[in-house]
Amino acid sequence: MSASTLALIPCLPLLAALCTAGMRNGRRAAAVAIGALAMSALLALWALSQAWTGDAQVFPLADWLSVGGTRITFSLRLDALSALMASMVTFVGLLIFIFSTGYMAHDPRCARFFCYLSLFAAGMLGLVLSNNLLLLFMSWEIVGLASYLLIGFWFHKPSAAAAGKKAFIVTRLGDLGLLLGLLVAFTQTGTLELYAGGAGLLEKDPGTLVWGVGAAKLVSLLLFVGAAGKSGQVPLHVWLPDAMEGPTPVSALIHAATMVAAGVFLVARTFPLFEAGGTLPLVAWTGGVTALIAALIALGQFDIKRILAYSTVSQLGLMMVGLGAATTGAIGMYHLFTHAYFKALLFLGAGSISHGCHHEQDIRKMGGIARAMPVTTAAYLCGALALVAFPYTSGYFSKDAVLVAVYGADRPLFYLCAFSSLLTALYVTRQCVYVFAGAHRGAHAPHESPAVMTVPLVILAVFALGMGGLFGGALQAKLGAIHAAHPFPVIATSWAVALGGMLLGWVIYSGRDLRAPDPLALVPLQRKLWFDELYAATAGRLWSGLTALAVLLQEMVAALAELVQELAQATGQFFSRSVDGRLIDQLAVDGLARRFHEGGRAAVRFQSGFLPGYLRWVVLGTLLGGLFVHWLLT
Amino acid sequence: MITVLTFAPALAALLILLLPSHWARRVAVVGAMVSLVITCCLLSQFDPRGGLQFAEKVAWMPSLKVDYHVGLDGANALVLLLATLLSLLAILASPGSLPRGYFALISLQACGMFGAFTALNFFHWFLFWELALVPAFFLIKLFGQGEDRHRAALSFFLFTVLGSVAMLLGFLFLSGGGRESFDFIELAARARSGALDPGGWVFAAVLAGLLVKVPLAPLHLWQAPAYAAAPAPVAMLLTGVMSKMGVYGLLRLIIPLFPRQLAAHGETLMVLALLTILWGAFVALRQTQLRRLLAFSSLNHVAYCVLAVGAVGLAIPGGVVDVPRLATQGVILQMFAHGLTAAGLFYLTGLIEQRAGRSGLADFGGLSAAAPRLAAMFYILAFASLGLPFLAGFAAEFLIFGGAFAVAPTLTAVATIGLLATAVVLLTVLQRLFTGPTPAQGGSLPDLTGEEVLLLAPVLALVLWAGLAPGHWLAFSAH
Repeated sequence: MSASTLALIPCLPLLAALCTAGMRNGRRAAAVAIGALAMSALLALWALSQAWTGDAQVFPLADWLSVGGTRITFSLRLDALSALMASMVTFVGLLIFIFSTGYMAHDPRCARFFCYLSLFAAGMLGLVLSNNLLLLFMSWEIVGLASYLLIGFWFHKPSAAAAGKKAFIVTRLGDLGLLLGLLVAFTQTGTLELYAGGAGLLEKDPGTLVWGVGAAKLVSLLLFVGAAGKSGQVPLHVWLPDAMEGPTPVSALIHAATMVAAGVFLVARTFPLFEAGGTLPLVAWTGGVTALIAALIALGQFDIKRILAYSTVSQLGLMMVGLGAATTGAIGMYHLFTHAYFKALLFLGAGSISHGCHHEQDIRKMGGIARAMPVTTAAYLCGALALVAFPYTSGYFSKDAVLVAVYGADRPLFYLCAFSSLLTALYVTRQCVYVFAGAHRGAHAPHESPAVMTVPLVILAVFALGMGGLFGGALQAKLGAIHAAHPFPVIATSWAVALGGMLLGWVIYSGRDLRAPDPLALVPLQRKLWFDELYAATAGRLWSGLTALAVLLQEMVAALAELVQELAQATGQFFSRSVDGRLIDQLAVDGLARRFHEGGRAAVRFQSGFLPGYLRWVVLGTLLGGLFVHWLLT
Repeated sequence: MITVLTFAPALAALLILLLPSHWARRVAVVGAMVSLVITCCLLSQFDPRGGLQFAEKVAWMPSLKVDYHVGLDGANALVLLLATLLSLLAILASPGSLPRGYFALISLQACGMFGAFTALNFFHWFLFWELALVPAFFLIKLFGQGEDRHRAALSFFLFTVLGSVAMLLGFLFLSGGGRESFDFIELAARARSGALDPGGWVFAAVLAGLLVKVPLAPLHLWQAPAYAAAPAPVAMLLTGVMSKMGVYGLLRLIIPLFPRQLAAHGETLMVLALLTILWGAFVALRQTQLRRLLAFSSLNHVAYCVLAVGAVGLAIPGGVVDVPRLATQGVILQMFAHGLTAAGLFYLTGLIEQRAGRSGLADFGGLSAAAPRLAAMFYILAFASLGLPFLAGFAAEFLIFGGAFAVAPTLTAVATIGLLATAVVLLTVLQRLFTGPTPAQGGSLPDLTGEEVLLLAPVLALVLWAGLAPGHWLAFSAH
């Protein structure tokens, strides 16, 4: 496999995005996008087969820029991690693209939708294949852009536009961390390439202190801020549930299976830095707290997609636990892969359900879906079982691996994870009872979706059930997991929380009048533990305070300048009126002129033109002159 | 050739006054086009390793050691391309119904800018610098919009003239009353060898003159009113090119001639730049008028350049990364990138205002539905402006932040808040203008015509090109 072939994997969807940007025909755009992604998927499978058997390889592409002695070379890395991610992204993406042709068929901007989806796929594939932290960051931002555009796809809805903006800004807050981490790494080591034959960022010791902290610790901390923003870890999780304003295929692809997992992938990709920096316990605990909080909030939600969104946040937390508690990135990534399939399935199932229910998303107005939509229901239940980690589904294997790792590493965290797993089983059962059981509570009769939507569901269902059992062991081994002993308490806990949670949910909700208030949807849970309100009161306040301060400064300086200008004008006026006008004009120039003028007027009187008068003056003058001469001589 | 490209617009201005008035726009276009074509020819022959090229040097006033000396090197190649391109686009963006005085003035302004970017002798550099200023004053005062334009023009003129006076005095001291040469290249060589050691006050005076033009807070008060009052094409030039004259001055004068003072005061400069970055971004958040908002956002973006110039001063030889190179290259690319995106945004804003007859942020909504092409262009430029990778701004900001972080990590870390605030500002603009339900009254805005798209096409092409392959553009200034 050559560098250019590998580069085609992200470039084909990019080309599709460019081609579909100007298209109006939705069907044609969908064909282009699906064709491009299908080819990418084939290439990714080929790459996977190479990575499966061969060694990790680095493919340099081109110099992006070179300044002084610094060269920034974009290169791709092909190893088990990147090849598996690329295969997963293209395969799940392909199914979701196909599903979208049905879901978005009646949207007038269908072509634009596929353009944005292709842009997303290109960014995501660039992100996973990149061997350069800068290229990874750049793709990371493109993915964020696509997410922003797709969340706000129905731009006429103010809530969708606001959710897109919120998602972009909250993740950008995390991205600043990532950018700073990148800058620290760059200024400390002079390179941003992850692997470069021994000279890469992950291969050498970044060593020196910055801000009194070891560079590896600092870089890994800052990278984790970026990862937490993208992967919706507490406290930066607030954007993800709002992102459900986007079309459902978007939620499935971006906000469940792939993009939100990018943070987890980033930690796995730069795992050596986290190990060297000793930041793994922080990663694990952030994940654990996130898993618990999100699972709690999910219990209090009534929107079918929001329940899944909080579930995603919770599962992402569990992946972080898997990364932080283990000695390799394999376990967290394993849960990422299984989760991608079953959560994409659940979201697409939810999309199919709300499509069949005339765009209803409130589970209180559903019910009886099982009879009306049998295929969707069967597929959805497969996904739900995997999410619950019902024994021998794919979710069971991967969650079990996480629990084994954390059992050995940190016992309190283990109990935390076990409890949130119990909550997971509970809220899943609650949701399924609300949606599928009993009689339909909505206004319109639900109907099954077309085959173009149900076939991808069935394919994903097969993966959700079987993937763990079939490929789990090999997958973990390829990702570098070390086989660990399977302590009995962990197995017992796994079974107990999954089955116990389901049983508990069944006891509470079956046979209950679902129109009555929900006993578990407590007010704090319904209000999402007031995170949004808390941020509005603190960070929002601070932000408006800063803005007000800046405006105040601006106005003060403007007033000062005004004052100076007024003063200058006043001085000018003083000079023009008083000094110029009075002193110079009136006294000096005009005054002198007036004196001359008056003197002249006086002189004029003597020149009367009257001869006797002149003679009189002559006589007088001669007399006076004679007297003067006499006085002089004597 | 450089002389020809500089004076082509001036000749056009003269012809405009002589020829019938319905020829005015065409003559102005031809004048600017000649400059652009010559610039492109020169750049295609430009050898990045060749140092100063296409130089013309004629003795002018030997007694004062004043020569007419122009040339192209790494520092001004890209910004000259920017100036000639944007001048042409600004003239093309001006409706032909304007009187010929307008076209004569805008051509003169172009001449002043080209001269200021190519001059290598302080004497005529300063003449061109002022020549660019005077037509801008009249363009704002005579052809601007709103009652505020007289005040805005006056304020613009006073601030920049005061700055120029400071700079002129500084240079007279620097030249020691004619003992030193006025030639930038010679002065730089003498400064390198340590023979030239101007005092701190000279540095301060020259710096102040340049910073007014950049502008840096708190010398920026003229900016928002001037950008808001100027006719849209003139606003394109003010933000796209004129603000770069100040930054270019920092590259041409401050870094080569005052290395010791820059090292001593680099930190102050960086703090001032940081203040401006945050100031611009946060004040922009509260603006209700689109043009003023973009003006403050512009204030924020250009201040990144000053941050980098400060970092050059603080650089210590022998670090892991080559800070002076990174920072200077970042400045050069940032000038190019910001010039393109800001000019594009001001152009689109002008079109929106002209079509709707309103300019408040709250006056619009749902424009994506009414004018999809306009929306697409505005989105691309706005994202370029907030530093999206693979668009022009990102590479420049990466280089600037890379350079600045190596010498002042804490300060640079705080400056990244500016990136966040810029994102908030621009996304709010997009949200207000283009999303939401279409308002019942005045919601239907005609979309961009083919001609308007064509006018923006080179800007978009360069924004993408400089984002995808910044190495190609940085090669001009690599040595």
